[in-house]
Amino acid sequence: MSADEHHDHHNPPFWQKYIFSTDHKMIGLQYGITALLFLLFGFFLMMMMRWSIAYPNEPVPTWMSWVFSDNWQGRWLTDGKVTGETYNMFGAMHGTIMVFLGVVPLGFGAFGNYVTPLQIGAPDMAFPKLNCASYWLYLIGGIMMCGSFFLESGTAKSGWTNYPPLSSLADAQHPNQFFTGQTQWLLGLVMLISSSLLGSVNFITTIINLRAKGMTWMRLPFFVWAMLVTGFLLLLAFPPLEVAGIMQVVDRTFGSSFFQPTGLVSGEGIEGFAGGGSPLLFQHLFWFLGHPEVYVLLLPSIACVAEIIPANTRKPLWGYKSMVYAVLVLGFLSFIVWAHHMYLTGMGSSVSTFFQTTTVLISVPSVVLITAMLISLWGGSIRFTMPMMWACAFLPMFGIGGLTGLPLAFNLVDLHLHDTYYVIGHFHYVVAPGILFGLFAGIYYWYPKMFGRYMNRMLGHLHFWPSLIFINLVFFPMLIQGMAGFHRRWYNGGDAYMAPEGSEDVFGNTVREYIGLNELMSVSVFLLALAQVPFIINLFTAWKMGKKVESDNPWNATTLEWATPTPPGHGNFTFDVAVYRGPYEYSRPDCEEDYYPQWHEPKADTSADLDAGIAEKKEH
Amino acid sequence: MEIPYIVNPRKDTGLNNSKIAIWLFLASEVMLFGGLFSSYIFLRIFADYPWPERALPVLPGLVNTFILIASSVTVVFAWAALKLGNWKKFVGYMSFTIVCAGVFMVFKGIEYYHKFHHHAVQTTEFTTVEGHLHKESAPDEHGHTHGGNLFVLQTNEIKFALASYYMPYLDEILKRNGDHEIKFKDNYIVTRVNGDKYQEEIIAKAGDVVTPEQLKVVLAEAKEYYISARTHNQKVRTEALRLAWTKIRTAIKSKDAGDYNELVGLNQYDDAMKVAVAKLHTKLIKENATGILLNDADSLVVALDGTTIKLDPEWGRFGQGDPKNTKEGTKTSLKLKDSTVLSGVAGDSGIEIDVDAIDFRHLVMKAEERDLDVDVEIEKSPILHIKGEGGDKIRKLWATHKVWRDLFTAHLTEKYGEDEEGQPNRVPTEVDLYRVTWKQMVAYERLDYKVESWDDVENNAPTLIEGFSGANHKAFPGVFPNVIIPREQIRFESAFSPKMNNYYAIYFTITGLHGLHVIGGALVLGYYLFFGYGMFKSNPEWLANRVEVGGLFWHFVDLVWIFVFPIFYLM
Ligand code: HEM
Ligand SMILES: [Cu+2]
Repeated sequence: MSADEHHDHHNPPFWQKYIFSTDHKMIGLQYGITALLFLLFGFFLMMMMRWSIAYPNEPVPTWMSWVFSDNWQGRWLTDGKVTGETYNMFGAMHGTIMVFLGVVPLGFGAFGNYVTPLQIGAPDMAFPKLNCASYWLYLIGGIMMCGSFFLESGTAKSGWTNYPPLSSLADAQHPNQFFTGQTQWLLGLVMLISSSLLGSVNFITTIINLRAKGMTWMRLPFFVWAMLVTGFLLLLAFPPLEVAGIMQVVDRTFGSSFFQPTGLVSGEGIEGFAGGGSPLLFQHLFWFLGHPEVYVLLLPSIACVAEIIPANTRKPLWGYKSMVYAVLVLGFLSFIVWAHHMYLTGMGSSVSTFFQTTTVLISVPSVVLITAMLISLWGGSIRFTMPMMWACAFLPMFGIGGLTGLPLAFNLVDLHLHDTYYVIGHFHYVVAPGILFGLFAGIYYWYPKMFGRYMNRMLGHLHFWPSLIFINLVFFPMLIQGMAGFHRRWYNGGDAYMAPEGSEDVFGNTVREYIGLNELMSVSVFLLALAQVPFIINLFTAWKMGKKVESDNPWNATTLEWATPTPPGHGNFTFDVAVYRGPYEYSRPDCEEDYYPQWHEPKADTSADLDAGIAEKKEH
Repeated sequence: MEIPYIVNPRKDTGLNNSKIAIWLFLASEVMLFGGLFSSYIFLRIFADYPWPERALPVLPGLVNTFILIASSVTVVFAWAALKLGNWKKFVGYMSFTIVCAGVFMVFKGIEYYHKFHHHAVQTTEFTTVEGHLHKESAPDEHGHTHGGNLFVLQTNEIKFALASYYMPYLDEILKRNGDHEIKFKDNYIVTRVNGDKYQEEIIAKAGDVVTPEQLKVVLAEAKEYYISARTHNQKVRTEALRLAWTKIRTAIKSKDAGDYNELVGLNQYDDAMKVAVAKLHTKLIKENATGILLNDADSLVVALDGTTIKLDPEWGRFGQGDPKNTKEGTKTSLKLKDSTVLSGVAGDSGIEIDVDAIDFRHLVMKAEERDLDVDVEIEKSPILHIKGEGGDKIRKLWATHKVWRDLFTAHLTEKYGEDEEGQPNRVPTEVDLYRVTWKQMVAYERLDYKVESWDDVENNAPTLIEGFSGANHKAFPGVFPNVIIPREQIRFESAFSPKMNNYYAIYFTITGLHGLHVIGGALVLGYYLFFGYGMFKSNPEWLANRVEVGGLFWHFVDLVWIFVFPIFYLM
């Protein structure tokens, strides 16, 4: 790209630069900011839920409830307390927002968009306009879903899984189906799916076709591999959910019975459907997406950590190739494990056995990934920078999440644990202290590239340590409660089941024994919320007041994003990019410096540099 | 900045960007339709009702198949013409392609139209009759009408749910009430706050007669008031509850808890604690000067003089699925979806239908499940016991059909022989045995209900062309019996829309999505046709690339139809 070409794009009008931007970096930032806002909202809903769980008989305190208008509170809070129905709305929306509007857009949308083209040495995405459309579809979908809080029907209230017939009967009493939370949720979901379809096509095309000269497949940073696999998961796993969504919309608006069994009876009497449909079908379609979705959440986060670890241990990523193969196998296997969420549906023991086997298999590549990263730490000269702190916390937290998942793979054990707080504890270990920590690491790591300034270290520590402590106090007790039999989606935390002292009721006594943990967890959640304040302050103040970076490559890293100006301009690179070696050439004995970036031209006179390929071979 | 490989392929991958993108997109489309077809299989395998086989008119589907295949060929020709730089040929082939898409959609539209105007009524014993419903006519002086599927209620009282009443329902109800009298049943009292004075005002006075217009105004006012009263009351109650908790907490924390001594040591979950709080809460609400609760009655009731109001069953969950309380003359109340409740006496809500198919398969299935004698159960079906001319005709049709199916069974045995155990190698299908189709009805009529040989029917049935898009009531007047089925015998009524059963639901969903793909593809191709000339002049290779990509999509659309056609029309 020549300098004068660069010129005529220099000053696009405001709306083109910031609103309908087609620049992958601006779109990445848009995704990031939007996703963080949604995460905040999802977190807030969860705080309301946690209040209701710990203090089911007390009004929500005003420091939380002020967010809602008086009329809204009059409609949805009885005597100021969260009701069962309201809790269901919060729960469904917490799950939906966190998964579809928060973590995926942050990991794939924001980091993927910002970093991928830079790391492969591309001037932008293959289809910049599609990229822009993808963001806007996401935003519209998100607003549709969240906007339904203000409808007469309230918002979606059947869990993030939206299982029928629960979901088909919810809001069914409204004459105008279009303006109900359940329908808006479905339509919003269709928007999100279209958005991620455009996104994934764009990502995969970009990675296949826009790699810079010399960027062969095995020189791709692990991050890019993870994005490639994530792209394929989104591309292929989402359409069946879209099918399920469309079928539910048809059920709702045209009265069909795709998911309505024969003779369904509700509180209103016999339902007037034709019947003959199958709720199980929905679960299959949902989890066909639902499981790959877990890896869509996870891979971008692991990808961030995998970049941060070599840069901060000054050591190549251990087992880069096995990680690449592991992530490919993981992607493939993730399509054939879905029914492990359905052991209790009566789908048959041979089906269960099949899925149990594949589920155990899929733990192998996951363990390969985490082990490789763990071993990467071994013998490194670790710099505990802010991103590295989060990355280091990610490893054990994700480890706990993964290991607590193993028992659930066995259908006999799942009989006991299914739908308990154990499951909630397990997957939150994966998504919150796991994935979210990995994404925090990413924010601290690439912030200097995005804005040319470091985030504040002090505030970083104030963010990190309380977060680490309190998040464990939130989720570890859940595992205990779950094993005791506490069911998920209890809006009163088990209050209604508690037996008085001396009662014969075994379950009631168990509830009595473990119900006290509710308060511990909820208070920890509120403190956890407080711990995010330094982060928010940091995010905004560092932008103007943070310590300026000393160079374009402040971490002395090796991958291509650090070869760009800071922040990168339109078109990214100011020189003709060529790649000469693998992504993690740290501490090579034949180099003076402890890192050897991919784009540094080998000097003809040092024999070691003659051929990066030879160097690579030597190492293995 | 320029994105590389937009037009020319990258050396090592051999592809340009859009080629990769379209293949990826098609991969996801395969998953989309794969999901739909898998659903079809799932729904069909697990169906607990007779799956309608070959229920669609084959001819339009077949014609459409050829149209799409033809267009798939011409789109390739159009692309080749571009590659050769021949704009005129491109225009010709591309126009043909798009015209094909249009014709395809027209046929589809006709098919849909016929389905939406064709109905089926299923009785509580699971006999199904199909045909055309009569249009709704004005009620006579007894309130008797038989048009459409409407529920007739001699209404005495309507209770409107203030938070949720739905304007279109209200309008329709008021329209159907005509100028019959409407009276308020109870008072609706609102409290106006004037400074710190509370003033009660009656906005609806029991016994007052209102016009529809006035009623709407009062309802709107009451709704607004109700919501603000609810907000106010909840605020007061919330404050009081907060206070109650604080009081009890502080009391039991202090050394001498006074009134609450017995609570010391309990935690918030204990019943005693909860009871104490609830008591204190009630007391605080009563005591507290600011704690005045406003009237927040959430409904407003009006009395009617037994006027006939006809309700669309879609408005609620009545008149279908649950036939009790729907018999003419029973006292009943109906809840609409917007929580409006109408009370009164059920009128005559029978459904009048011109029958063009009678189907006992579902009944047979149910009977077999319970090990009952199928033929006995069929004879019990209310459809065979309807009085009058139409009923007679149905009985005649069924009797004739029984003659035919015996002849047909014998014919099959004769033609295909028997196995070692003496069982015939071929037997008639369930459709042959238990369904009287419209074509058979025509044939029976033509034969004057005397069937002598099994192929009489085939020889006298309407041709493919005559039955191009299904039963044609105009072309065969007098063939199809007209009957009224009483409401209490009806389990289910629907047009042949997605509501009918999952065969039609998945048929409409798949063909609907496919149709959207056809429209989308035609729009894209049309764009190249009408706006491509500029690009043809400036960068013909790029345009050819685009047409190629569009053509690939078009092939996919065609391919989907190749699956749709046999699955829905032939199997
Ligand atoms: C610190 C952060 C978080 C906390 C304290 C938290 C807490 C909770 C709680 C209390 C529930 C409800 C349990 C129940 O009643 O059944 C829940 C449900 C859920 N959460 Fe979170 N959550 C957090 C973050 C996340 C994140 C980051 C994600 C996703 C990426 C997530 C996804 C979900 C899902 C899918 C559900 C299930 C909703 C349903 O039942 O349909 N959460 N969470
Ligand atoms: Cu799973």
